Amino acid sequence: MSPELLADVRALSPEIWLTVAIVVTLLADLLVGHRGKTLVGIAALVGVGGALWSLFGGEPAGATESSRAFGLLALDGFADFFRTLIISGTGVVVLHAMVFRDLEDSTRNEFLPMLLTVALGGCLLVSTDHLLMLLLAMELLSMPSYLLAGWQRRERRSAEAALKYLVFGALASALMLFGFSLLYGVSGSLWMPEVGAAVGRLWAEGGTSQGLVAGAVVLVFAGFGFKLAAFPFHFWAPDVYEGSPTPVTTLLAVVSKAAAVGVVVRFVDATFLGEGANADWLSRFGWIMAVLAAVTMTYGNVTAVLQRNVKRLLAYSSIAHAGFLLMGVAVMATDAGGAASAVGVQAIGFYLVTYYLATLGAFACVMALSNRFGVEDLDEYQGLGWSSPYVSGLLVVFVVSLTGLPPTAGFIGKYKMFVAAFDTGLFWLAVVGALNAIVALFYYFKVIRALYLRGDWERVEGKRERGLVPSLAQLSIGVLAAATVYFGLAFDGLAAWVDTALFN
Amino acid sequence: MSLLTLITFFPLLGVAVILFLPRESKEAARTVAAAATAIPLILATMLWVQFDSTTSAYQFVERLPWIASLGVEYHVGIDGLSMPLVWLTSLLLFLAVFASWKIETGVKGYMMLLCLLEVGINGVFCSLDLFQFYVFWEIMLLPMYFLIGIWGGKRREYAAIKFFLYTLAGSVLMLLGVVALYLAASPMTATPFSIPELSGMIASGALDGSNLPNGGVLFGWPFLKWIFVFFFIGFAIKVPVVPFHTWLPDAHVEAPTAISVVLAGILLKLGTYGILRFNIGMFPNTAPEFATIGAALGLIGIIYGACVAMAQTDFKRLVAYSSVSHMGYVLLGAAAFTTAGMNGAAMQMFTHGTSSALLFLIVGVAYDRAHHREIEGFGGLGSIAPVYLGITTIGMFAALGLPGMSGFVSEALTLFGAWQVYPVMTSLAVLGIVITAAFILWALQRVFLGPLNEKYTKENFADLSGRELFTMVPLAFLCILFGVMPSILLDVLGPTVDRLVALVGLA
Repeated sequence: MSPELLADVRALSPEIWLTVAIVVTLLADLLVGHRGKTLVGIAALVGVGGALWSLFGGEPAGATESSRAFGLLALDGFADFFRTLIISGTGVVVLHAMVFRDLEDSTRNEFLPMLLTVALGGCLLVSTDHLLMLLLAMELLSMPSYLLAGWQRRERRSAEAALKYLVFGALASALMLFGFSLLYGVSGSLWMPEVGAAVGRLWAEGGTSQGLVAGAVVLVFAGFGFKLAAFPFHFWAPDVYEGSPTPVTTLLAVVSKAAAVGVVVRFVDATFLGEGANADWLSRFGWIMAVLAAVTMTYGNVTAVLQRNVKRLLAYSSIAHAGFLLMGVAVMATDAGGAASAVGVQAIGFYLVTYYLATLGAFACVMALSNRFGVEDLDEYQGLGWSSPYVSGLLVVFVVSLTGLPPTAGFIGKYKMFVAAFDTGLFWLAVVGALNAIVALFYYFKVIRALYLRGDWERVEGKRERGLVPSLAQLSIGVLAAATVYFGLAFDGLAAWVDTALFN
Repeated sequence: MSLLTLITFFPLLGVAVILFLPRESKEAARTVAAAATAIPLILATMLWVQFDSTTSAYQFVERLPWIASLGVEYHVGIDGLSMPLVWLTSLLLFLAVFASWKIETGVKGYMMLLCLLEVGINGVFCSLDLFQFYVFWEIMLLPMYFLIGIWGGKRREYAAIKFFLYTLAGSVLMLLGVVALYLAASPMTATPFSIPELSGMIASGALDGSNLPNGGVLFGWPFLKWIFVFFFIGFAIKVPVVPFHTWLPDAHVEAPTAISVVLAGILLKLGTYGILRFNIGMFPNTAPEFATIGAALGLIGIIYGACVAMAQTDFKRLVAYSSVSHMGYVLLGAAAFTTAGMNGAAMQMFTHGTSSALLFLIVGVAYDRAHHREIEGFGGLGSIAPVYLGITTIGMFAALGLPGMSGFVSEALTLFGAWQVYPVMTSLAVLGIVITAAFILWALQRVFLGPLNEKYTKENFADLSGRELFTMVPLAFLCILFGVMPSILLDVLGPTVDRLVALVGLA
């Protein structure tokens, strides 16, 4: 093999680890059957661990000049950052899926490779600056997601979720593809920087060219917005989040969301902020993003107030957080290639990590409570705080972080986002964000209210499972909570990692 | 490690110990909490003894780097304004443990939260770093939410979330102010959150937000004016200043006795402390522009609070509204920017802390025995519980400002000081004193004097127990002590108050 090819392959080693794990878990299922579920789970975890190791350990996977693998992938620090989140998040989900009670044991072994496939799609999605590869990766991410959403075949809600997700998803993909074809038509390229140069040129021409560009970008962002669950492409999220098995919901809220954020940031950065960027176009785009951010976070938060199902509540909360992340995109677009784009990307990166920790943790708690008590509605959570002090106590930590209160990482994420918005003159957006935090408090604390303020003090035992894997799953919640508090009080290291990773 | 760090964080040790106690050991949890709050009280007393009351500089300062990427420091220190409040916090939290001795459900959780609350409050008073201040300010809310929400009365859920939402609404505004200050200050200093540095730069005019987008001007208002208003609203909700006060009666009525004590005794003072420390200490050039509004809000609070208190039939609600009225004096006195007014305001914070805490303990005693708080449902209790009557009299006289009691000194100073600037408003405020005297004496009469309500006998309405006396006597003693010898407190406050007045006077 030529050295270039070798470097390309090495840069792709996380994906290779995942692919091998997918194949191994599928084969293992054939060989050992559903009795060997722990074995298959461990194989999946080893794959995830190997992928993470190849990102951090050994030689750095990306971050070199030659890391444009096969001309389709940009395996840079930016990709590594998102791949780290995606792969580690998938690892936690796999761990919890191994003990999730609502899955039938007979299908659990096929469930795990599907999770890994989503991760694989996500990894490729955040690593590409080529629109064709982007589309393929998006589909690789989406296809298993549709299947996973409908995994509990006997559950009406699950089937409905899968169908809804599939129909909306197919529509979004089709729109995005049409957008890409328009962009290809005007630029003659599918490579983001070249597309961006064409966009800038055409916008400067004015007239119908502007309409063409704007239309194409709207179509593309329909696809992105769908994955991000941003207003007005969020309609699928509540039903799908509620109906899917909770590990899948977690995957959608964390992994799929992180991948979507990655692709949006890269697209905006490589296309609109690259060479030949048009300042007028950028400011209009930024303005639209700011409005979308404000509407998304407000819509998500206000609607969440009405929810009674915890998963549904968290679905709306994830819409609201998508709004906060879009705030960073709006910040990025306030000036071309200048300091603002860096400020925005950093804020997004940090915010995403805090969101990732808290959402992963919150869903892990939801899974743990559902395993033990079979509950998913706020009304059923009443008084569980006394029966399950460990999980409930940690859930409080995650909820506080999602609200954005100190001393948790969520506060720092919001703080950095507000600083970014203020710094670039988006005062009003920071004010909207701050007001949203008040609404958020109201509904997030409904969870805490149910756990601690309501119900009698009676202790319910519930179904407890002992053993290595359940203990590990419990431990992972504790680790997430510890990280959530730790990064709320000492975030220098995290901030440095985010900053260096994103700009390499 | 400085004394302040020890005082602030020692209760965390209590939290850790209680966490690992077995579930059934209620008595042990109480004892540990008592110990974990006793040590800070002893340390705070040492602090008062060692405090140098000849200077207005920050003392017992400890300054360590904390979050380098933002320039956040761990920076604690106290001056004459915060030192008495740290002591008062330590005292009231210690007494609160004993006032909560009879709580039987979830004792472990309760005591842990109480200890955590002390960390938050003392952290706020000691902070000289704005970021750190904000973190402590918010940390305090969580234990309070749980303490009201879990151990409170019938409408506890409503009261707890209302308290939280109101305070958070104020603090997100404050956060926007913090963000703006940070952005404006970060090009000029490596530690853009340091309160002394920020104050210095703002006073000298170096920090005016002109380096922000649009020159910091928003809707025609300069940067500092916006931040002033944001901070003021954040603190005014906490005080509470009318019209932001509606969370207070709910929170007070639903909270368990000990939590009402902490709420009235200290949490309200956080608001006025913030106003003195930030709105006046940090924005001395902007403060005079809003002085008349501040004084007017104070006056409205005084009159409105007193009138509404007069109309209450619930003993606890009455005391709660009296707090609204009494906190109005702080605002009125502070807004005058005279030495007497500012001294009165600073002293009123402390004296009201002792007298209102005592009153809430008194209400708690009545509620424990009678299981209701209707003023009309009592009567003649003095004949069966003379000691209780005696303590109550002290507390109530201190609250209505009888000469010889602490409330008199602080209110008189406030009014003297305010008179020089706002003669009309001050004369109206005097009306508030009359109404206060009326509703307090009337309540005293209806509860303790007259013929004994037949429902109560020496058996079902016992006089104060040893534990209750232990919580009340120190406060009653303080009410008299600072009435007779206000100089103990005024000497400590003096230099800091003079500095604040001089700051504004320069403008």
